[in-house]
Amino acid sequence: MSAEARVRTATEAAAASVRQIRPLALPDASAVSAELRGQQGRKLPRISVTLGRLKETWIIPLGAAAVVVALALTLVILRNPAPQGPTTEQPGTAAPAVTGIPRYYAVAHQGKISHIGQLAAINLTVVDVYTSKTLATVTLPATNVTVGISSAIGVSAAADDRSFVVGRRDQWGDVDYFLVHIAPGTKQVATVTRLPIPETSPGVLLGFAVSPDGKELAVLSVRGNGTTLRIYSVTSGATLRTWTAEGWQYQGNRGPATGVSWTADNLQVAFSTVVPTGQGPSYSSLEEMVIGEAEPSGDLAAASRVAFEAPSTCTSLLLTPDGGTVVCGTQVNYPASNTPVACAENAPAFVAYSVATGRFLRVLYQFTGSCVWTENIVLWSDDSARHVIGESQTTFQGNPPQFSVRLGVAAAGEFAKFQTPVFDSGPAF
Amino acid sequence: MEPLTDASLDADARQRVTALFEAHALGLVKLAKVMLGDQSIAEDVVQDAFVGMYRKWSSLQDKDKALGYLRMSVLNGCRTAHRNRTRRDRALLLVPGAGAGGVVSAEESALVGEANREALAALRALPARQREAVVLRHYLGLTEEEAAHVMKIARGTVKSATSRGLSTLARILKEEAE
Repeated sequence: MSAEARVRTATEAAAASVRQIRPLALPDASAVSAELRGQQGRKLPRISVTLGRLKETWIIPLGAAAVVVALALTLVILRNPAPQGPTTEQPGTAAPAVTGIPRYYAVAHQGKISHIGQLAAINLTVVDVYTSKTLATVTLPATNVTVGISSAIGVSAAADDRSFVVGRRDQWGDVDYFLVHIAPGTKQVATVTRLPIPETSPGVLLGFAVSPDGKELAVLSVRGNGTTLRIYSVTSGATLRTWTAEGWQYQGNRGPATGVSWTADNLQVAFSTVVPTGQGPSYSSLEEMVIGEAEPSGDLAAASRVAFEAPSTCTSLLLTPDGGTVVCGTQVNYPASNTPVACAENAPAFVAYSVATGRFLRVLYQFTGSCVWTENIVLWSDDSARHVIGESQTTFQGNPPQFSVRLGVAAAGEFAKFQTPVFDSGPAF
Repeated sequence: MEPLTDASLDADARQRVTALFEAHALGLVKLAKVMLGDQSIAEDVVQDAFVGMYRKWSSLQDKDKALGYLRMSVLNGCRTAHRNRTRRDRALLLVPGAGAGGVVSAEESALVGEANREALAALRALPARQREAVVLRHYLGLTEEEAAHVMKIARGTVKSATSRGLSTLARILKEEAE
């Protein structure tokens, strides 16, 4: 193993051992003001004393040094004249408007195939949010796939902003996982490793999420015997926990890899479940459930608890890393009328709710134009749920209707869009 | 509109520094832990950096660059802590890294592993500039330009410091393996 690889592994292991830190203890405002006043009062005498000493002992060497520096500067200016005309900034290198969001995200895309059983590879593309430039594209080993169903079933990101787990499904429905690690600025920008998690056929995979420290993978799936949540060790591939809720049969057709997340302390897994509210799949709402990672294996329904009962308009939920807020992405759907609808009246939005009280906190962004259909998916949130990264899929009125997928940061009523390459699954932040 | 008073400005500074702490403190403690090997000292360094920023909040020119400022402060704090510990170790005739700061918990021992501890010890034995360059480049994944900005040195210096640091590390680790 090279020195770079050893340093990377060792530093990441040392960093991963930090799980909790003590809260910030800021001094009282009055103490700071008094201290600053004291410093201002002391400043003048200290400067005059310093100058006095300089005059006595350092005047000659300082003069000599000043002459040398002036000479050096003159030579530099002569050798490097200033450029003529105005300089222009490189396009696409501006810092993002919002700080604190992850810098890199990953999307997965499978190459085209023409017949069942053909070998196809998944390309994972890692993009820099700041510049919208592709940092790296990694090709996973090819597998037999089937027509019409992408083998790229999901991407999840660890909290280090450097590690991504990609899920791959073959034509028989077996799923395996790959870890892609990026190292921006180095020769080998991305490395890919197949995780030792045994290849399994989980039924319908509802979502998966790697823990913030990158050590565990939570996988939620549904099949004939109910809904199952498994926790795997990323390093050994061992199944650490298995919970099954036999009563939870119907999970709707929610998008993959958007329903599972971890709290920042790596101790709790959150996932969304569909609760029927009437006859038929249209009559349902989401609940955000939370389960302790250390709960013994067994009944998922008994071991988990409801953190938030969402309004029926919510079609995507995400618990914030501190576990205090749930962000909801809403859907508006008028397929029967296919006429322009003022979406604003029907609130296609990203909305934050308090877990403690269940109450509405704020609208992060609300679409104000006309549309026929729109669905917002929450992909990432900061602790305070004031900056949310989301995907907004909208169909606008037209002949044929225009479909648009926008990815961006929803905050303070604005939606700052950024560019994305074509993808089947992800994006993961 | 409410007038801007000292109290309202302080409340704003307190709120924004606290928000920054919530967003970045864990990552900064991890950085300091990598540099120093001791979580409690790492937390002290990070606390000092945030308190320092809170004190200077009104004079901070570009508040969007707060993370860069914090990284610089944490690196400076780590340098000082490292120097103090080296002095203490020499004064007490201790093996560098031993003593209170060098005690490794059972959990950490299991998490970090023997091979990684050797690599970390070799990393912490590097001169400060090389150690910082290697960590910023290969742990934080900063580009040479970003590392140069944080370390306040030229890009070429980052490149040479990283290269020298890695060569030294490779030599130390090879010697240990033999």
